[in-house]
Amino acid sequence: MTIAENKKLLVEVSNVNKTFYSNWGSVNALYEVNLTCNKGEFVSIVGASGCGKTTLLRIIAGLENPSGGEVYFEGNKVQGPGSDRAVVFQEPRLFPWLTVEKNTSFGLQGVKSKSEIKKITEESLALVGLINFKKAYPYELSGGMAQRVAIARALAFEPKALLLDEPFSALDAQTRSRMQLELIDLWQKTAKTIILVTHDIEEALILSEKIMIMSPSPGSIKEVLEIPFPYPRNQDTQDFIELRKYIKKNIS
Amino acid sequence: MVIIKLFSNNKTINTILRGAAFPFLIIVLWEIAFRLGMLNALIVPSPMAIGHTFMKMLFNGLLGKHLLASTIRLTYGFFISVLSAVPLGLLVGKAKGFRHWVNPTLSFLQQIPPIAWIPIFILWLGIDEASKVAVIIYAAFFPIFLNTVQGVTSVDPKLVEVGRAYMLSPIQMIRKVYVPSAGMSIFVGIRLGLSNCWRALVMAEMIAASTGIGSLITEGRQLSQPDKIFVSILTIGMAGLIIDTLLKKMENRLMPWKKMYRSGERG
Ligand SMILES: Nc1ncnc2c1ncn2[C@@H]1O[C@H](COP(=O)(O)OP(=O)(O)OP(=O)(O)O)[C@@H](O)[C@H]1O
Ligand SMILES: [Mg+2]
Repeated sequence: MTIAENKKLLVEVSNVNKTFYSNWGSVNALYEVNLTCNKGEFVSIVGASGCGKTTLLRIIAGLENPSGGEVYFEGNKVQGPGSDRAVVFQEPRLFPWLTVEKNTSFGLQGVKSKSEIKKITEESLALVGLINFKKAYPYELSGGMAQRVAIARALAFEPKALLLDEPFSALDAQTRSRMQLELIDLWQKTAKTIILVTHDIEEALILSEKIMIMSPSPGSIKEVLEIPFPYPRNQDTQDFIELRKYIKKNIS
Repeated sequence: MVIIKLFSNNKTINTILRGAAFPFLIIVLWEIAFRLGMLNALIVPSPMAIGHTFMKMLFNGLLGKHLLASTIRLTYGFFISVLSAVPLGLLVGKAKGFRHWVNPTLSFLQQIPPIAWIPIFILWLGIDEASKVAVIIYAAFFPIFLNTVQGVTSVDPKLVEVGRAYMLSPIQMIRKVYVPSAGMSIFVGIRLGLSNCWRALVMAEMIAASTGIGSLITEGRQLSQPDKIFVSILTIGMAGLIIDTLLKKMENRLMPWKKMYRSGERG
């Protein structure tokens, strides 16, 4: 499948390998990983701890170089971070000396006019429901709010793809499910492409159109599942429960 | 809003009252002991007498004159110190190779208290202002320098990575990530440095000076005027306290997030 044949293709990971070397030995974190993701798609990558999910996401983000293979974004080879991708890390990673507003516009300065920056910042903060907190500092936020600011920062960057690395794993169950609903809402409003890394099968099933199951040692993609359920998803249907059981069995 | 204001005002008043309670108690007991004839007036003046001398020295301008002399020295020395310690700290912090060359020397120098250098500074720079300013520069240098290095080396690599992910240029990276991040630590160094050099200055003035608040103490001893010595000590402590309080205020104003950032893991 080439780009010419499929105009919808956004991300293509092709035969990616990654080996980490350290003084106690080497770790084969990724082995011959292939995946594709279309424009506007919501894809989840699930797998056990240490199977290479973060590494894969970081390679797509351009924060890490693959030891072998390539990543293409809209047909162009990824050679580093780019303004077409924005990462939300597992921790909020906000700048403690900047207000919520300034943290949100972090990636924008120098590129756009003041009024444009203000407009984009406010829109992004409104999307995550934090417009009233724009003058607050990160220390004044709860964990969930901080993570939402991190998402707003990524949105304000106006990327084509959002790369999320277990963004809700540090949150309590209630906040997490609220944030999940907000994320679906946001995805439907903005039509962004979202690649979500998670080890939470339930989360992947609630959110995504496509689930990629990774297996460990060495990390590789074992199976790709299309999730046919309509949004908002009902977690109590027989099909949902069956699929969850199936994925659970396959992650190990 | 008003309620919050009142509350915080009450809190500062409370803080001051609580902080003043202990000194007040000492002064009262001291005065009582004096009145009961338990103290030798020639070597231990009464708080009332000290207060009287303080007022006298305040109004005849003596205190002001010496305080001014000290302040001028402090200002010169302190600014020279900041202007040399901060850039050098940034350099040493950024260039890992450079650190190995200078660290042992600096660790050695750090062990030597400023007062130990006073005789040699006088020998080299004369009895005038230069030797005293040199002591101040030396006293403030290490806290500022070391905290600057610490600030640069402890910049959170995760935040640097955010900068990378959001496509900052190298200049933007320094301006938006390194400088503010190290700024907190640099400011701590500046505060420590300033109180260090205030103390060093007093020592230098006691050893060799005819002006300055430290020289007043020496003068008081030579003339057997303990009240004068007490007035000087009181002034030194209060001036130091005021300097530190102002800097703390400034720090809170410049970096309102700092308190939380240090104590909590949020952010
Ligand atoms: N910078 C690094 N240096 C050395 N080894 C690394 C590095 N980053 C990751 N690894 C190794 O690569 C493997 C995959 O790590 P990765 O962080 O991608 O896992 P993960 O699937 O995200 O796990 P988790 O769910 O626990 O976050 C692990 O064995 C890890 O030890
Ligand atoms: Mg991970």
